[in-house]
Amino acid sequence: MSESVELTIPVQSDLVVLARLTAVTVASRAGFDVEELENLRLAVDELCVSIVNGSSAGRLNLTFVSGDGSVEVDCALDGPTSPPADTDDIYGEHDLSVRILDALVDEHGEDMGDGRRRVWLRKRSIRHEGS
Amino acid sequence: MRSVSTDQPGAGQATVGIPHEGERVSVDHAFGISEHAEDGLLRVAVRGEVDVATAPTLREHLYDAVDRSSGVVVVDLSAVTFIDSTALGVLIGAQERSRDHGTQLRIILNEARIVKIFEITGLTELFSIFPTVAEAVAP
Amino acid sequence: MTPSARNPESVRETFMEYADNRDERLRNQLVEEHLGLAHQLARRFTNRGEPYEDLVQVASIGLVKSVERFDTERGVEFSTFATRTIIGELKRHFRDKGWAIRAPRRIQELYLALGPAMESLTQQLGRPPTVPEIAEMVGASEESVLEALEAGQRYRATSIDVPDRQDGTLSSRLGQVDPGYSATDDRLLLALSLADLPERERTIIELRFVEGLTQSEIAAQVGLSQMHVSRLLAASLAQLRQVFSQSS
Repeated sequence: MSESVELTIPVQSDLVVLARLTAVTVASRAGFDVEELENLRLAVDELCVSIVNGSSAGRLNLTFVSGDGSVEVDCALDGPTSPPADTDDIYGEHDLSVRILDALVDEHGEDMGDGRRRVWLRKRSIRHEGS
Repeated sequence: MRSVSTDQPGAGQATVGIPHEGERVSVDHAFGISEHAEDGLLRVAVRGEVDVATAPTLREHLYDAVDRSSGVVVVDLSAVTFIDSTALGVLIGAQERSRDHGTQLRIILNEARIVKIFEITGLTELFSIFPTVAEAVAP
Repeated sequence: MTPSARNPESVRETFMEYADNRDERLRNQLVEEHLGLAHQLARRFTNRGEPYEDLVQVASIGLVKSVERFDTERGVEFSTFATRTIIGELKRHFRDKGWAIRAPRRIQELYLALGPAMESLTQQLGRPPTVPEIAEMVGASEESVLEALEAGQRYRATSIDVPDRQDGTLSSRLGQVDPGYSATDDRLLLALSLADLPERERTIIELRFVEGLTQSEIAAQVGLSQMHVSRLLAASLAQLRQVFSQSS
């Protein structure tokens, strides 16, 4: 079963819950078990927090696509973006973010498609037979 | 005076025996717990290796001692030969439980290697650790 | 003695040696070398209501567990394996701690029922259950189960609008730069290098990392803009990092 869900939210911490809930709902429907859902929940949270990186303006556009026992979550930031200069990240937040995502999902990445910051992740359920 | 003993074969099972000629004496790594009520304190003495296999037994005894005690429980680890993360987890759990019960835990430890892992994980800040029983029970 | 920052190959060799002889001293050394990661993760999940000190302990023990269980044959990098293990320990810690979020009673009650249900299902099935399986066992809708799981999460990562995401101890911050330093060396070097900083910068560092003030609070206190404080902090930390790496 393949599904695609879209969600757009303003950049507000108490609305990130919507991103998490949507992600686990879609993933649960794709057959993920509770441990995998918890890890996905954490990873989506990490995704939202890292792309926003301290600013509070703009909107987050999220898409959740499931199929073949896997889920892909895409998150793009629409709005006044200042991509973090390397010197701003003296605390290694970016490295930690990468490490956390490495530990929780199978693939993840970031880019600046269409001039917007975009981060994405892909997670496969081990429960699913087939490719 | 109450005394309870549990002996269990642990991971490193050499046992002490009376050495025969030519036989080497080995250190007893067998896990064991005994409990002693002394001077109004409960002392849980542990020996041998505390790891994945034996930590659950330690937890049982420690939690029970914490529940029964009305004051101080001395956790005597001076005869412990090895400790791993499961054991550390048990100690943390016992500490939390003792907080809830208004009991105080005091740990006896002097083996440098074991003290080291306590230091590295910050547990020396969390626990009251003493090198000898005498110091642990001093008023 | 300050262990120098080691390259991944050298660390891997130590892991293999440890796998071979299970020498506690090697284990302790490996744990010490990676403490920065545990501190980072603890800081990352520090939430209102869960003090950093508690989390650092949980994370550190999680790190010991990671070193003990790491299998060099598996093809996973240690930092990835350790991150997973430590996050697992932190999650478990939060689960045991109870509620921080106010949720409707039915959700709270449902959440309480979930724990035992998940445990018994996991035992029965030999794997973690799915949401439909849990829902059937507790007699609730799948949606409610998902909602209850969400509401029970206290380990929410740092929220977006917390003004200073960068808190935590100075040494853990510098430890990220070079995880080879042990804590006592940190403090010694820190004391020495703080002395080299101009007084204003030294004050700001102390206010930030000893007093725990936010950048805005510091700005108010020293009479500078928050942006200025931020830049001074960054520059001072860069300088301290220089000192640390030069002394290795």
